[in-house]
Amino acid sequence: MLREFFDRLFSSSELPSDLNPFLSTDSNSAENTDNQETASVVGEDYIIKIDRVTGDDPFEIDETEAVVTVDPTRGDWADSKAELKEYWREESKRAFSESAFELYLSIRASKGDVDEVMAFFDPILSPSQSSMLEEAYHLSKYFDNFNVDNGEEYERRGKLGDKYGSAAQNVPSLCSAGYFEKHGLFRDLYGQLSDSSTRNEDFQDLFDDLVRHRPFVIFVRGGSKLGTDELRRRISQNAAHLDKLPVDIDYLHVRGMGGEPKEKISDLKGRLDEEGAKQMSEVNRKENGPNELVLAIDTDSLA
Amino acid sequence: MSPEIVFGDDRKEYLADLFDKDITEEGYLRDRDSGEIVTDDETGDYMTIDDLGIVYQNSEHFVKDDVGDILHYATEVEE
Repeated sequence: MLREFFDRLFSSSELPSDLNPFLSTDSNSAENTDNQETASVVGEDYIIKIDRVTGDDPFEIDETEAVVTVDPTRGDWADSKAELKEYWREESKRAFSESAFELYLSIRASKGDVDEVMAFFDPILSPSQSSMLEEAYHLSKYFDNFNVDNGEEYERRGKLGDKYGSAAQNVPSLCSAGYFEKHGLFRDLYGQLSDSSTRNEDFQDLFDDLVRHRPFVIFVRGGSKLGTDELRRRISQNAAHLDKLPVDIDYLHVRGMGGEPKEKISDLKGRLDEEGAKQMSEVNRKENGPNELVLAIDTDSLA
Repeated sequence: MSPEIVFGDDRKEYLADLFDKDITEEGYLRDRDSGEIVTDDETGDYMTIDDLGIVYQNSEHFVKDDVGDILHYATEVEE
């Protein structure tokens, strides 16, 4: 099919043989001329990308990423468009924007993991909470496993907030930190609620409160102006919030990735040590991306 | 298996053009024949060129570049 696509887009007479993606670079050899299919540079699993091409050739081949990039500003787009449309009609094809394609791939890859989480939470959350959590979980997987730039992450978090309320913007971070997974905080909290007729409604109220205020965790981000004094003040504030909850949350987490956040957390740990607070730090090793320093503070031991 | 086709983010206008859609001054996609603004397949919201995420089935359906819309496509439409 890929070859058919290129045959439509570029007739072989239009291209020098060494630009034909279905020929090996040594296309003058008799062997390759006689056996073009087996000598293909480009496999059938390659992606066709319509984008900017900077070199002199009408398309670029990235063998590492398995992508053939075709630039519509090269040659006659009107003719190419007609060929593409015919191909589309016959194949009932689909096309993606680049960012949508990566998110789509992430959703397909993470579906099993997210479905496992949602199998627990979907029956006990409201429909809106459940949809928000599922979308946030997929975003967290996308942010963790794909090389998403800060601008796109900010924009996608913002869209989630526009749809479900501003507190939803932070839920991907809670997902990434594991609070909804098996043995995670939220499943434990559901288990703590009494098995009454209002158990799910009680959990939904608790879920809203915890997602909105996040009293159980403080994320220290790079570039944040949070100093040790302000962090210490927030810990007291969060601990007071935890005291008022109808469930027990014994530890308050302070989490950070990268040099500056880790340094701030180390400074905070020094302050809490001086106060005699019980705490322990651990490194949360991520498969993709930097490791995370997590400080778990026993709130009962705070002065 | 047919290859996937992906449009670079600064070549999205060619994707719109491929399916005979103009881009209005406000950035909305408008059908050249009917003059109607394109709507998202699931939500029915008007769609801008920046929103455009997936086109499928002979350009009859448009999906926004949004996690909820793509999730719906991947789980409800595609499967």
